[in-house]
Amino acid sequence: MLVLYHNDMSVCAQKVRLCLAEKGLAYEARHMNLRAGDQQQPDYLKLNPKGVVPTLVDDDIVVTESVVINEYIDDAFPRHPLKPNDPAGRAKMRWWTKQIDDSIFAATGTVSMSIAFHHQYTPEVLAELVRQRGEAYRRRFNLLQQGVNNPNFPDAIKRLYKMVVDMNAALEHGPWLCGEMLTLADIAFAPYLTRLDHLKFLGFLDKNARTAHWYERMRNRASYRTALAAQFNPKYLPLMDEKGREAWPRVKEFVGLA
Amino acid sequence: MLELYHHGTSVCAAKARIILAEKGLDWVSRYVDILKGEQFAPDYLKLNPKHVVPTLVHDGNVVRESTVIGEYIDDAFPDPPLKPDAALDRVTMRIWTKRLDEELHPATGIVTYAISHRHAVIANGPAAIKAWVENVPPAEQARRRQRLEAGIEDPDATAAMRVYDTFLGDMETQLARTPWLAGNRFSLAEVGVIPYINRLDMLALSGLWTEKRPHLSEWWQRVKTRPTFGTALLKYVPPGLGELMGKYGKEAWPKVKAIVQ
Repeated sequence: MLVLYHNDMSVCAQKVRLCLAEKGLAYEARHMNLRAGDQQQPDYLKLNPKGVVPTLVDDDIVVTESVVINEYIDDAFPRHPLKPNDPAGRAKMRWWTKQIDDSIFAATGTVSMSIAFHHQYTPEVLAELVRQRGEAYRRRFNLLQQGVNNPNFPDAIKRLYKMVVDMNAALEHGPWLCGEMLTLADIAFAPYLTRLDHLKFLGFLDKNARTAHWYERMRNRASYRTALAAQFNPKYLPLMDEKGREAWPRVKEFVGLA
Repeated sequence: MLELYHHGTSVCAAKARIILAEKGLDWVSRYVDILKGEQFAPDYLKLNPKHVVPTLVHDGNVVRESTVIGEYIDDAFPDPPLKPDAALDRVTMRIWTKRLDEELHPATGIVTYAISHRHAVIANGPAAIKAWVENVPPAEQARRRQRLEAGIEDPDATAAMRVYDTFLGDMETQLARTPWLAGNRFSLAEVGVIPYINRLDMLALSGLWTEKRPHLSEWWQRVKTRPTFGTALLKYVPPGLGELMGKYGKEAWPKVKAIVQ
């Protein structure tokens, strides 16, 4: 039996839910409340020592790290393959998924926290995180509270714009990032476009029509509706909407769209 | 035709050479002297916009990122296989290669500089040191000077050394269970890890395993007796560099030992 420890709005968890849905695999979902610290409970840390979501458990096999989990799912359940057949296509796919781990995930964290999520942290939660992670976390949090004035914000938002531009260039060769076939690369990027959508930054797509069409195709898939859209957290969306709209004029300047 | 753009001091380029050697593939060497800045040449930037080595070009198809290159060569030339057969062991393999990219790779640069390469800057005398420190924005100059002077006792270097030690500890745990890092045979996990362990070995820090990690020690002996270790790795170390790294490493060893204890 497959068990997925996840969170509704986590981009990494969304990636794995989308993969499982594309495969048509049934699983038991265990939702973790990250703001309540579920991921730091001792039983969960035994499965996932870093204390992050997602974790996939397949009987006695425990798999962490969303990029590794999705490769595992495709290796262990080969029906409806999500990797290209040819080595060059696979290399392309892995180059895309690696971009997320190298820089896009971190940039998304900086942008989302600076604009919206830092408002969700109560003084009690912050104190607990500082206790766990040290004073450096408080310094980092103080920067995040500066919103678009966070000194790390411009580089992070430029990275996300570059992502949209790079995707647009790749999509010249077919409807999906690696060509004719939907792969783990498309699955991995869908949550990141969704995050830009929730922050009302879809102006990024104005000059990148192919990325816009890709996102539209993605959103129209049944897998996207069940694994992502149906699970968006209604408590998060208004905050992201409101704070994102406020930030948009500065965001536009940073990426040269103003 | 397989063409590899690479350099002798780069850990990532070494990974690509090891996998080509393990597969017994012929390849054409395109040496990019990163110490002379050849990675910034316009023609190379077209192949590799991040201006890093290695880049593999296979019949005109460009593959970047050493971890991706490893998977690519194993997909394109399946024999002998360098991925485990079982899905679970592939997970183990990919967790290792991911940890290399995200944990060990950043730590390696910091540790190598703190123990060895900073001495090359210091050796050039006070005027050169001043110019080197002032080559970054004013806000970063104090940190740059501190790193230059404190060596492995700089807080960032100490933290990087501990990252290495944790990684070695996790290798020991795994190698107590299985003969190779991802199960019963040599895999892309080894291909990835070898250059990073070799870096410690060149820095005369092998005490990190010989003194307390018997399984890792035995594994490293096995790795070093593979024919590919010489042909893919040692052959490309620039002359004189190994001796220099060993000399500074021996000086630093007591401090390193204190950090990880």
